[in-house]
Amino acid sequence: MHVHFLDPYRPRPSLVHSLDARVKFILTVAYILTCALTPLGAWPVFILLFSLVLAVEILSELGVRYVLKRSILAAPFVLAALPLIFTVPGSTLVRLPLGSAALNVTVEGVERLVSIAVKSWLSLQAAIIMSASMPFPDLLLAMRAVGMPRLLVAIIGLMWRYLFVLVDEALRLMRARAARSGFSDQEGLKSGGSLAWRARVTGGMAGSLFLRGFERSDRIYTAMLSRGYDGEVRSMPLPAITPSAWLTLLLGLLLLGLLLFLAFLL
Amino acid sequence: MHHSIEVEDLWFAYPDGHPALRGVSLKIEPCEKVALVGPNGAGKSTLILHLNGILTGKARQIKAGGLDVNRQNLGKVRARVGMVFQSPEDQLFSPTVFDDVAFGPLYQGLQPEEVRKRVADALAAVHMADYAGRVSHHLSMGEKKRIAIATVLAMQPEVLVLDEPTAGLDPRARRSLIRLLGDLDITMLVSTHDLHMVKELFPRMIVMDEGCVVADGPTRTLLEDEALLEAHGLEKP
Repeated sequence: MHVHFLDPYRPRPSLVHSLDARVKFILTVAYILTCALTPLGAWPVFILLFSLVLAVEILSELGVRYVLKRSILAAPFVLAALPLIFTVPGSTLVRLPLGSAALNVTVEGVERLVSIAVKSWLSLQAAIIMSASMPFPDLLLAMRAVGMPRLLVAIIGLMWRYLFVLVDEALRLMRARAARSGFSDQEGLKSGGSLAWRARVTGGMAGSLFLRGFERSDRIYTAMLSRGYDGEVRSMPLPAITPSAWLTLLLGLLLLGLLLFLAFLL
Repeated sequence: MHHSIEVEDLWFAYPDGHPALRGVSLKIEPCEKVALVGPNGAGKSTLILHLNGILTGKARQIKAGGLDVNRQNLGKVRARVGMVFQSPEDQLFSPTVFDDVAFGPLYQGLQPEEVRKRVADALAAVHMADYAGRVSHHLSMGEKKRIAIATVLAMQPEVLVLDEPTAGLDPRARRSLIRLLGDLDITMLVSTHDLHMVKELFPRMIVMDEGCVVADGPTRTLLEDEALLEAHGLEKP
C-alpha cells in the first residue's frame, strides 16, 4: 500500500492548468506579495483580491469548495496573531477586567488581526490553486527558471521524492504494531498497557524511523556519487515561454500592480 | 474443533479502484502447514492482511482462530493470528530485542514475570536466547527474521502467518530459517516465491493469480503440473 493522498495535484482540463508553470509560479508569488504589501484595513482592495482569486478558482475547475476547505488550514496560524488585539494601542473597543488589571481590546488591534487573517487566507488560496494545478516536478522547474539556487531546488525535490517513502515506512511500522496489539483470552487483564509505556514504544518507533531515514540518505548519496554526482546539480535546458503565456504574465502583473497602487491611494 | 482459518468469497479493491482480491475462498485446518504462492501482485499480501483485520474487504465470512474477523473481535483475533511481515525492519521498532519481543505480551496486559517467561520461551524457540539485550538495529538479516518470528511467538498465537520469510537471506540463513519453520509445531500459512522451500516444508499449496485462488492441493501434485506453473509465472523447483 502506498500513500497517494498527500499529493495535492489534481489534473483538470482547465485554462489555469494549461498555463505555463513558470508563469503560474511568478503570478502566485506576485499575488502573495501584493497581499502582504497591501496596507492594513484596505478593505476594498482585499475584496478585489478575493474576487481575483475566486475567479481563478472557478477558471481552474478545481471547485471553489475544495480550495476553501483546504484554506481552513490557515486558521490555526491566525491564533498566533491573536494577542495583537490587546497589544496594539488605540481606542478601546471592549474592556476585559482581569482582577485588579484589565485587558483592553482596541479597534486598531482588531483591524490588524482581521487584516492579517485575510491576507494569510488569500495567500494560502493562491498557493493551493498553484499546487493543485501543476504536478510537483513542474513547480521545481519553475523555481529553477526564476533563479532559485539549484541546490535549494534539488533539496526540495529530494524532500518531495522521499517524503512518500518515509510516510510509507511509518505506515508499515504502525501496521506491524497494530498486528501485535492483541487482547489476551485470559479474563480480567487490562490490555493496551499504560500511557507512559505506549509513549515509550512510539518514541522507539520515531527513533528507528529517524535512524532509517539517516541510513537511507547515506545510501542515496552513495548511489548519486556512483552515477557521477560531484556536488553540482545539472538539469535539462528549459523550453521557451510562448507569447500567450508572456501576455498572461504581463497582464497579471499589471493587474496586481494596479491593485497595489489602488491600495496605497485609498 | 474449528478451522484455523476460514475465508469465504472475499473481495477487496484498493482505494484507487484497483481490484486486489476477487472472490477468494480457503480453509486451513489446525496444525496444517500451507504455502501461498503466485506472482507479484497476485493478492497474496492483501489476503494475508485480511486475516487479522488490518484490511477489511467484503466477504461472506472470514474467521481466524475460530473468531469472526470484525471490529469487536479485532484484539483477540490479532492475538490468535501471529503475523510476520516481509521486512523485519517494520516489525522490529523497539530499542532492544527484549522490548520488541515483549511488546505483544505487555500490550495484552500480562504480569511482568509471565512476560519475561514468554520472551525467554519465544527467543529459545528461534534459538536466539542470548540476544535479549541486543539492539535490533545491529543484527544481521537472518537474525532479524528470527527475532521477528519470536515477537509473534511470544503472543502464543494459534496460527502463524509469514510473508516472504526467506526473501533476502543468504543460503545459510535461509537453510536455518527453513529448519526453524519445520520445527515449529503450529498452524502456518506462508506466502512465498521460494518453491524449493515449499517442496521441502509444506504438504499443501495454494496458487493465487490476479486476485483469485487458481489451484489448491497437495504440493507434490501441483509442482508436477508444469502447465499450471508456467501459466502463473512460477518455475518448477
